[in-house]
Amino acid sequence: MTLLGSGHDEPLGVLMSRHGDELVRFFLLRSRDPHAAQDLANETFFRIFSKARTFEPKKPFRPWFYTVALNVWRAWQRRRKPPEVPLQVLPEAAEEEQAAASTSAEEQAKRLLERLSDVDREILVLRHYEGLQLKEIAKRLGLSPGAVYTRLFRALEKLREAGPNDESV
Amino acid sequence: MDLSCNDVRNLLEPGGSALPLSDERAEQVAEHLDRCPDCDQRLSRRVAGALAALPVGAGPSLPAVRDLIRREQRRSTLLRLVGLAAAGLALAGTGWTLLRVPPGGSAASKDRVAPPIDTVIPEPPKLAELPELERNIIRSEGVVALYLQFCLTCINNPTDQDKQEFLTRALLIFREVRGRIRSEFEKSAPAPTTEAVTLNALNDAIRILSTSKLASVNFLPSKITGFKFPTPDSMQVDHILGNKTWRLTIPTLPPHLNFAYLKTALGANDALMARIEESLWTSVYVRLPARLEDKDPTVGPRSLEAVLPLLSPRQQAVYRKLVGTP
Repeated sequence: MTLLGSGHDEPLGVLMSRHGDELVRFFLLRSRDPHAAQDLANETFFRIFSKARTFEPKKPFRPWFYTVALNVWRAWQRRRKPPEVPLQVLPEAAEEEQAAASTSAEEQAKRLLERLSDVDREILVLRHYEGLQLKEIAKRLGLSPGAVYTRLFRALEKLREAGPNDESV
Repeated sequence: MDLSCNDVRNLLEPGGSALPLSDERAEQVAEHLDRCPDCDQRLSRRVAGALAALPVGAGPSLPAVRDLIRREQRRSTLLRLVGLAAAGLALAGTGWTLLRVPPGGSAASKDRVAPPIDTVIPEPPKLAELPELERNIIRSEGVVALYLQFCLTCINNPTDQDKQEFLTRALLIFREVRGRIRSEFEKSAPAPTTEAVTLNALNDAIRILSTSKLASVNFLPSKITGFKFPTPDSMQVDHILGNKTWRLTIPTLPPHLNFAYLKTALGANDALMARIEESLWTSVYVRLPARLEDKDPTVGPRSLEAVLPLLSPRQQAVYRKLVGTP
């Protein structure tokens, strides 16, 4: 970070290899759009480079990193306009099936995320990226801690059933 | 019944055997997890493991980030060059003014002592002496400008970024609405009352404002139901906020903060007025309704600080008179 703060961008590669995928997942959970997630991750690393001087080395890196990411996300939400799609370019039903059959990682991620509700995804983000306890998440979302636990567990099961099973406790 | 760590760890095992849990049981598990750091850590690992299984197609790209950095650097360089060019022009202009011989100037005229500025500065016009159309526009515009600033602070607790964005948008909205104010006064026959035009203008302003809400500025009045000037120095707005109608009574803008009046009093062109507006709008104008109500003594000095650097010496003298500072 000290090197970044002095204007050298070489350490970005190291940061990207350590935190890049997890950051993309952070944006995937929020946006459900793999392309947007990649753009937002790029923008976050750009901001990390620009704001490296504001990082205090005595403080932990992760909360600062995800605060920058959260700000990038909020700015993106403000910029985003509702998509306007002319009727004639809407895909036919057959094209939708074709798209569903795609096996790319993006499509897989999309399909997985479509199985989760907005609240489930928010719970995952708050738990994993913000490190909140269940009762804190409950307070934030207006749910009971038990409901948060149930939703979180169901979300984990959905991810496990649909994705490659390599997780362990 | 209290749960042991073993019970909870069994429930956390992948496989879903733990579901469905009764509400009571789920609350017990959640309570245990919040109390027991070991089990909580297991849950964290479980979540991290599940998320790691989420496939990431293309990750962030170093060349793309470098491209963003390069673009930003180019933009900063360009801005710096523009700034330098502007400073150079200003210096050249000042130098030229100082060095050039006044037309018809002679050695005798050089010896003549120039009259002090304040002896040739006209008194700024009094509002009551201006033509009726101009007077109406000044009053109406002043209300809209002040009310837009009120919207930022009514119940809202904006983040710094949202505050900045709101101010930018609000100034654009103000500029759009003032065009309509002028045309309504000019076109309508018989001449509408200032209060009727102002009421329409306020409704126009909040309608435009509501089309692009900001996350932390979401409490905006939905309609203005009435407007009047109960006294020459105060304005009264009846507006619907939430489901209730509220009445806001605040002092009107002092002349030295009224853009339409300043344009006339300073004889400023559009470019200078745009700079004055931007400078005041993002400084003295912020929380101005409350400041005026509290008779905040810093309003005058802060106005001088924001406006004087933009003015010529003659205009500076006029503006000082308006603020009431020697």
